Amino acid sequence: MRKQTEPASAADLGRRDLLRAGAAGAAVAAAGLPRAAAAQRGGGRIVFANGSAYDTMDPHATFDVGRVAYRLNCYDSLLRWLDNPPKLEPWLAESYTVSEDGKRYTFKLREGVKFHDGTELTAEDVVYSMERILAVKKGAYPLFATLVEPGSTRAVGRYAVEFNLKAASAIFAATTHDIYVVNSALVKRNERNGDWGQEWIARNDAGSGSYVIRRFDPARGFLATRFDDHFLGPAGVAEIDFRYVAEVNSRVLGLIRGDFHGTDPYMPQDQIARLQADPNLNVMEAESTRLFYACIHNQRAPMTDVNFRKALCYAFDYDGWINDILGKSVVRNTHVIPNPMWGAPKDVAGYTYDIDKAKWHLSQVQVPLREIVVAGMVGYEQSMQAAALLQAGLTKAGIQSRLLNEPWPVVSNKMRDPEQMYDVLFLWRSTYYADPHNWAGELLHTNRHRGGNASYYSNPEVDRLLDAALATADQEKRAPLYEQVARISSEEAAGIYIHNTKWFGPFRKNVRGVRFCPIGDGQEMRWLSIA
Amino acid sequence: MRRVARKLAEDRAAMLGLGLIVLLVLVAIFAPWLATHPGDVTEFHTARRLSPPGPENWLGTDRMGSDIYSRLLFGARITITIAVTAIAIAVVIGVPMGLVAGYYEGIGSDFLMRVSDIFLAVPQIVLAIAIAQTLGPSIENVILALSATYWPFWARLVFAETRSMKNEPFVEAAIALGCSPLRVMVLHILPSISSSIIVRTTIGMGGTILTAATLGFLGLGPPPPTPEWGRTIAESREFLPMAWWYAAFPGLAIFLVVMGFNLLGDGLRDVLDPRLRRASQHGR
Repeated sequence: MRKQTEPASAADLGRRDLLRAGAAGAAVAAAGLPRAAAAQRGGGRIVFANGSAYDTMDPHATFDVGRVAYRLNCYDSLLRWLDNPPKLEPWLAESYTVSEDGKRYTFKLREGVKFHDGTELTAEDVVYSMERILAVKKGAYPLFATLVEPGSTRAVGRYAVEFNLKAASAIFAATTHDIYVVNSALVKRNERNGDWGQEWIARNDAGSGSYVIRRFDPARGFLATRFDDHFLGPAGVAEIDFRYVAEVNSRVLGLIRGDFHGTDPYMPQDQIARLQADPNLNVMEAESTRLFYACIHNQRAPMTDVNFRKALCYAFDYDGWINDILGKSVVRNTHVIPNPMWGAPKDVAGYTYDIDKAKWHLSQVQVPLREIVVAGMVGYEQSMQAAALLQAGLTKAGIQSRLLNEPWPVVSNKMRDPEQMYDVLFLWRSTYYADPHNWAGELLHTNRHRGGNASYYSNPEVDRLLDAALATADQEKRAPLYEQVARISSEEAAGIYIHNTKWFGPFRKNVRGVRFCPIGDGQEMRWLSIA
Repeated sequence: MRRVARKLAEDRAAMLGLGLIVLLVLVAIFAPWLATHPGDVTEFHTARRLSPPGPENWLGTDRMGSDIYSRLLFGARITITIAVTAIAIAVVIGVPMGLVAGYYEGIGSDFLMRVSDIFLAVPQIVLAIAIAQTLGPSIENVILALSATYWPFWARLVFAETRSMKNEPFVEAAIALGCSPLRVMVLHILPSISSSIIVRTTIGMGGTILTAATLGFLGLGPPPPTPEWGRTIAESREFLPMAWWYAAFPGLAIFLVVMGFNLLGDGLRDVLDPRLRRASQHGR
């Protein structure tokens, strides 16, 4: 890591900090603020308590919401999703054009965009970043693996990039949010044995984003300071400090005490209610598109049998879950696509909690039964609770099961390997791009096996529908195809689809300007200010 | 023996400890009859979740609406199973090893003691966590982890006692009379060091229960829905401070049981330990 002066010790935050931030004065945050306004920008620091650990600072190595903060705040991408409902906005690219056959995308870059070290961001950096994603094969790689051939991306002059896709793809532009552009000259200088700079960038900054990574420690989190030369002008708050705070209670108490300004909402609903009752806090609410479901391993017996999968679906107490455990804070989502998203069918009744039906389907199962493993994620109370709830239903239906809770880094590795994947796993599918393909396609298409489709579900008819939906850009034509995929996967019980999440954003009252977007869960800090 | 029992009966603290242990055993045996909601070990009532202590649920309910009182009673069975089995295995391994190593001198005995030194060199809880983590969460693996880390304590103790007993006149006499080494060890040495073993075992029980609860707390104990006390406390963290009863009662249960074994162990040591006994006879 580059040696830099540390702006403030991490230990001395608290009320003093808030006072200092208040004295520095409020700053109004808005996109595209002219540089002249920079002088009026406030100081202050936002301390955000994050329930997931940051194990790397490589923008191409992760693809989850838990670790999204450094990607969003320290790196820029070609286009960016903003606000709710999400809109795809120009970012590093001012505009783009698509060829007749839908295979060639040309992005025109902004001129004069600076990396943190002062070098200019050019088309070469975009090309390098695309190649790096394809070579490193982590993070957002599955989005591009089947679409972009290594070496096929070209720089056209200094400020235009041409992507040559293998097939037309209606979602390609939507996924360029995840092509985070790294400083190619800097990364190349730090490559070791052709590792694309992985070892180096895991702990260092090579971005152009609103904040510059100053300190990173996997056990503590990362601290970043404002980049004054950002192409949209400097951000509202001088410093952002993302702390890894594993314990829910520590996050909640820290927020109540004023040590933290915000935290992620991955906690029991009971704690959200506690935060809502605090006069110093503002718990923002927004309808999100984040599916909570149980991923069923469709290629391992007895889950290969559709009747067994249906028995699983009938054994989950949906009402007890939504009404009692989550206090009616969410709504039931009976199929794979979140309700508010276009392409979500309105006519899928889905499954109910019905032990008799579960027993009946169980009696129809043709393959030998065995004890199945139901997994939850350590640190994500809801997923562990849902696993326990399913187990209670399974016991009543006569299915033997064993609970296993493991941390997310372990879980995400196992998901990529059909041998290691659990029989049933409770988790969320967040929005990475606002398109039904983000759920139907990524979770069910055969070409996403080992990369997104951890259920290893495979149905030629579903693949055909999904391919057809990608081949056209016309939403009118695409919507019915996704609706059909949702119906088929519900009928075949490809997974246990449970609810669509509502977003809760707990912040201190003096934090202004939070811009929630389902992509990134409201963690883009450049819009914020402290009053 | 009667003298020991009488002296122990005079020790109020030890009797309190004994009472707590007897209570634990009774609770474990009669759990299905004492529990108000025996089905709640596996069943959930989500509508009743996190209710405070009251007439329906004496000690309140947990995150899934199960009765904490009933789950605590069944948890006592797990606690006893783990502690008794783990200690029994540790004693069965440690005592013979200590006897043999103490009785014979030479490379073999040195080797046995160095092995136990290696185990003692690593903090016990760290070793137990490592073993339980490697093997995966289950009752059997907790027992294995605990017994694998506890036996050196008995081996060390018995080794030292045997070494000092070996030069006692009565042992030398037995050897001179032509008793086989096995006979000397089992019939002459073992009875005279048994009091130390009993004291160590009683106090060790408390430590074992605490370590087992720690493993459960860390998610390395028997998997849910087993009503293991340590894991119940771990679960409750997410609901503090609203549901104070969720953490408080399992914590209290662990506290009382560990205290019970420690008090009884202290009392037994006062009564049984030959050195302490001699000291009191000399009127110190």
